[in-house]
Amino acid sequence: MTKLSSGDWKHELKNQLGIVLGFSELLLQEMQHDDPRRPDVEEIHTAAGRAMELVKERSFNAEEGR
Amino acid sequence: MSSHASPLFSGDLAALISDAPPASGSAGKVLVVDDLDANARLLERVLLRDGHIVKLARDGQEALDLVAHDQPDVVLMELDSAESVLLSLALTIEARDTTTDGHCQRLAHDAVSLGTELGMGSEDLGALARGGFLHDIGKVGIPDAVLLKPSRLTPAEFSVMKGHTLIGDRLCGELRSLRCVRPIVRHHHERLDGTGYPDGLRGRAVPLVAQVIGVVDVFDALTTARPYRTPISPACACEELMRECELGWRDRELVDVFVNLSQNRGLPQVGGAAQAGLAVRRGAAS
Repeated sequence: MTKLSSGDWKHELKNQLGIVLGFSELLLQEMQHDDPRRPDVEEIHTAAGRAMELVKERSFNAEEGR
Repeated sequence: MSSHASPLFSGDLAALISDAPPASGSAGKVLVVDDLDANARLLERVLLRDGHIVKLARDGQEALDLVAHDQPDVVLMELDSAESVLLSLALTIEARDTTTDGHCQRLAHDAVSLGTELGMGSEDLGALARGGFLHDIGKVGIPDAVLLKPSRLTPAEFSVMKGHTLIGDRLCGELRSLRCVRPIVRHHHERLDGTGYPDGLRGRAVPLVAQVIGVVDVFDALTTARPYRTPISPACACEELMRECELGWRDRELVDVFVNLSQNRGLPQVGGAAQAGLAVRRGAAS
């Protein structure tokens, strides 16, 4: 596997999380409100969103030199 | 967290999707450029749902081909893909001017060789490699009548030609990944005595990476046949570079290293039927 720099690694992670967020968002938009799978998809979406926030927070701290 | 309160996409895609054509009543032809299949398919899903016609491209060359063939209303691309498109565009510009065939590849090679010899770090060497390809990207905005003119340019035409440095700088401007390359694109025609363009920078204000590209650019231009003059030998091109040092245009030490490199290791000699003689200069190897 290609060795990634710290910046590349964050970029790749954000890319992958963006895909999880985007597709789960699409599913949520297209699902019926009473679909029994909705809570599961919401869990995926929420977790991916939180992970994205963490990556961004980490990137920001690194740029600030903290 | 409410999924409906959040934007459809997080990260870079969010910015891209916000530029998409409006969903209602105005279906557009949209080209999506992304080397990540899942990203491309995600955007395709959204755009198709909104009634748009969607084409996908995985890299810069494919994107340029589709732009030429399908003439999309909007192009959506992530910034990394934009760099790929710019690189492909640079090669397209080179192809547009058949007299400069292979110029970008040679420049990238020679510039990295010179930068290595000067002890430059990996970031600068990376900038030189990409700068070799992208330094003249702004020529995309120069009319054929000027770019391909087989005789010397008039002062007005030369003024138009000079604009390629500013156009190129603007094209690279939004790409964070090209921040190290921008000084090359903008300043590779500066001279140390302040008589270069576009900013008339003097001395150390001229970025070293731009000076390196400037030297190898002139060398390559002089040793390659152009419609407005015959090529000269590498040895004569080195003499010309030395003369430019005496005029105060270039750094003597840098040129010495290049000349040594050229003589000892033998940079690619591309002049074809090279012959000694005076170079008819058109600016500084534009």
